[in-house]
Amino acid sequence: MRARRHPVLARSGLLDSSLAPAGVLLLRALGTTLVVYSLLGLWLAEHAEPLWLVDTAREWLNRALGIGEDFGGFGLCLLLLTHGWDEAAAHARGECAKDRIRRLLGHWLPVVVATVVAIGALSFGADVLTRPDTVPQPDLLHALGAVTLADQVLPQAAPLLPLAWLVLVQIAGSLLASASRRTGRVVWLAPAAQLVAVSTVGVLGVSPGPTHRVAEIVAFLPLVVIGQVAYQVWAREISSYLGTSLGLLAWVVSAAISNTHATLRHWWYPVTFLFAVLLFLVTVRTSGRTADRVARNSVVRWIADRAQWLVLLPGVVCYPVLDALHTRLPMALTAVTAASAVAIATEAGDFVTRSALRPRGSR
Amino acid sequence: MSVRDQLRRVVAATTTLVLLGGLGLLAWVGWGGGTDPSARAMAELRPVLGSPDPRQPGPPPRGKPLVMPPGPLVLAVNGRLSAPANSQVVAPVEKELLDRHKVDHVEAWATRDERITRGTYLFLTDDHESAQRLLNDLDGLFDRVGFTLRKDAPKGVRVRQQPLPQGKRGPISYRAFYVAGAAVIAVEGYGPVANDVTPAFNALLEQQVRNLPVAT
Amino acid sequence: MTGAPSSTRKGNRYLHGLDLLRVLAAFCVLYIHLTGWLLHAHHPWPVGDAVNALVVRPLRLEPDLANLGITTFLIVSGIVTTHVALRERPLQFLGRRAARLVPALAVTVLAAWPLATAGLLMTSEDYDLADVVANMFLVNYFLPDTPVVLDVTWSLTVQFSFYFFVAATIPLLRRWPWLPPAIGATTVSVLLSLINTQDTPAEHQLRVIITFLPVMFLGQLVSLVRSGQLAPAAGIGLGAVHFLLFVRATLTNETIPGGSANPRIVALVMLVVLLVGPSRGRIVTRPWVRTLSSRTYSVYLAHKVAAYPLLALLSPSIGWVAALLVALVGVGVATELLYRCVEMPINKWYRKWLEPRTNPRRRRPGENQGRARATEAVPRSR
Repeated sequence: MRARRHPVLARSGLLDSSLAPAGVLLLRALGTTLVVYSLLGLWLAEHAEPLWLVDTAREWLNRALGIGEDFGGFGLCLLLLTHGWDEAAAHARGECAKDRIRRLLGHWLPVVVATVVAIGALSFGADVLTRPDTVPQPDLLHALGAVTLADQVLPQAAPLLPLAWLVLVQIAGSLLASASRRTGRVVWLAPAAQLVAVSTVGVLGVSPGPTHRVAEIVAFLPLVVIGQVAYQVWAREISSYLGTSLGLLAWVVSAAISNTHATLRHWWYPVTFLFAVLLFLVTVRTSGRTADRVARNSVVRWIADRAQWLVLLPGVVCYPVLDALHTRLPMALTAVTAASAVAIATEAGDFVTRSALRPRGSR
Repeated sequence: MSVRDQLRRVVAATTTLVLLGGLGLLAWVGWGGGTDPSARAMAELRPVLGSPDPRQPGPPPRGKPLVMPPGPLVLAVNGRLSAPANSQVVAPVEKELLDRHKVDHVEAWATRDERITRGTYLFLTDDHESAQRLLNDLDGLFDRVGFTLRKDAPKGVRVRQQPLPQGKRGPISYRAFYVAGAAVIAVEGYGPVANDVTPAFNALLEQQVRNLPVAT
Repeated sequence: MTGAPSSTRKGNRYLHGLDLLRVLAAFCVLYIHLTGWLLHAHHPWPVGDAVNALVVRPLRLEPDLANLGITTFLIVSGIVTTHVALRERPLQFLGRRAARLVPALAVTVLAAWPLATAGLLMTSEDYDLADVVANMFLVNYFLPDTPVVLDVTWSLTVQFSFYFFVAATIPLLRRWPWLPPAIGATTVSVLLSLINTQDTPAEHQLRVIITFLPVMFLGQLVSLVRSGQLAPAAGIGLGAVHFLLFVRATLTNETIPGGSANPRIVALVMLVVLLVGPSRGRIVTRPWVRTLSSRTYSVYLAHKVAAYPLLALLSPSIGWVAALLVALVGVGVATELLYRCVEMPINKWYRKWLEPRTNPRRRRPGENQGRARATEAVPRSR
């Protein structure tokens, strides 16, 4: 089958939003916005603060659709799907190992910066999003655990950056995708092999033990696989029927793992997964002039390009601001101020890492 | 198409949409969002179970307003008092009172064994104030036939008992009333031996108030 | 349930996927009613248990896939009828829909009458001739003390209401395509505020109609955006309004549509329609898909009338499994009879004989050929 060639993908460097088809870029921006919104919702819920917009959205949208966590989990699912798409697109473009490492570094560096900010904020006694809610004064071990992402999977560890599991899933997804491509020239074998690996970890993690927490995170890996499969169907590397079968299998694996974990079960993740996948596929399929026009909007591109930062920084920047201002300002104004602080921190972090990751000789 | 024509079209479309939206909004303000008033009042009477996270995906789990008393069931009603099947739920004198207060929706559970008959009832009125008036009238009804007020009742609950002519081994009858939202909740217990009835009635009342707290 | 997919040959825009979705919707409706009978008769139903465990509970749908099929039918019907409305005149539009739907409905109700009276359709009412006549034209839903002969016909009241609305707004639809769905949203919103009690059958049925009308408008918006009549942004905006109206109807009434999963079902079906509708894969273009799709209205009407009596009469003697298989064959036979002997002949007769007489303007020389092509391009639409 002849691969479809997208003009935008013909250029190089996946850290830039100009490389993704408009629909995928839009979904990355949407997913990111929803995650930021959900972190605001989480803060409001933890502090029992009412905000008309959030309360109304919960009653009319979240509960009606069955998507919990103020769309936070849904937003993360969209980001994982777009990551899977990017991964397959990069492979199709013949991305070299150096570029891949640079791309994954781009995903990981915000973790380092956010860890530093979190430790700084905690040492000043600020309110930072951590799990569990009260983390003792962080030491070097905490910092090391957060930077290496080990605190996301070690059974007794308290994650300093609760949302950094997203980065772990992205990196694991990319590594798994690279490894599975060794299955040969049969294109569909790679996603199938990834699903077998995910299912194995899922089965091993059913009972309480060291793999239990790993399995919780692995429940989201099939979304990266679905993103890859979607690209393969779009690029006509595999048929839509094969793609549908693999996608359904991936959903079943995800749903089954999330159903075996009490911490995941009450969030109705199979519903969230299905909505995210369907929205992703519909957007990719119907992406046209309107999507192109919206994707050209500088705010949309800014959000999509800085997705990693906008997922990781609100917990360490937005929370202290909300905590400091909510007793002094109206809640809506406090939320806007906190969002602005996140935007400024994001721009600063992105500027620094972009400069560091830019290939030598390029401007 | 000229810019002026385009502008005119945009203004016309926007005006139409604003008018249409305003009409819907006006109807909402005038006649409400579409909830059946009695259904809304009933929905408020279904207690939220546990303390659910507001971010959870589904509607918060809600229980039933009435506790089902233990024992063999002899009455289960959830519907209109005017329905022929429900005419025997309350005594004629109470029925007359309920009619006067325009109560139509009624729910009830009653169980009976050889020791005790227990029941829980819900009478839905138009609003909280109407419920308060109904409570006073129902309570007054039992006051007039000689039921005495118990002092050790839970806060906001009026508990009346029939005097005990034969002491603790004789028959006894209890009636308790309280208001929750737009409803009057009644709890009853009676039987031939006071020693059996009193603890069972107290337990049922405590359970019912915990399930659907008093709203004064 | 609707007769045919939206189609224009220009640019190969035939929505083959809608054929497949209609077939799946018919299976869902058949499934829930067969499951309902088996559960009512206290038979073990492992298929039902498996479907609830593997699909319904993970996706938090209504038990036994309730409302999944009907939601699909309503959205697809909204797409198809809007598409054909753009090329028909109001009376022509209504005449064609009526010719396709009403005779089959009337015949099915007549056939169901003795079966329902004998208690073979899981109803226990006494029906007189007036009741049956009312049922044949769906008037029963608005009259007090008029029992329902065939309960699946409730959804036709929603569809007919939508057809009347579409017919009344055809001129607007052509000139300002955004206006009819906007007027529809306002109408539904005002009526939701007004009709908040269900003290009479008419109030109840009106509430049913205004609850489900937004679902059909969602289909209308899909059709308008797809045909390029409406900008995608306007379609998404109006679609969001109609979806929220459905949510409002659900939030303000516990029994209509019944169950908190319904907005979720509408959103999921909508996404599936958008994804599968334009599909042109090998399966959706198979002739058998089109054949089955064209019979979905007959399946919808006939399945209970055929299956329930067979199940009730045969299961005591040959067991429920064998009775179920016989009932499925019975549904097939009844569907084919209804389709070949009533639905299609009357529809063809109407289009061939009656319509040219009522629309003499259309018999101008050279027009017949064009009309034939247009009819082929939008085949068997209701």
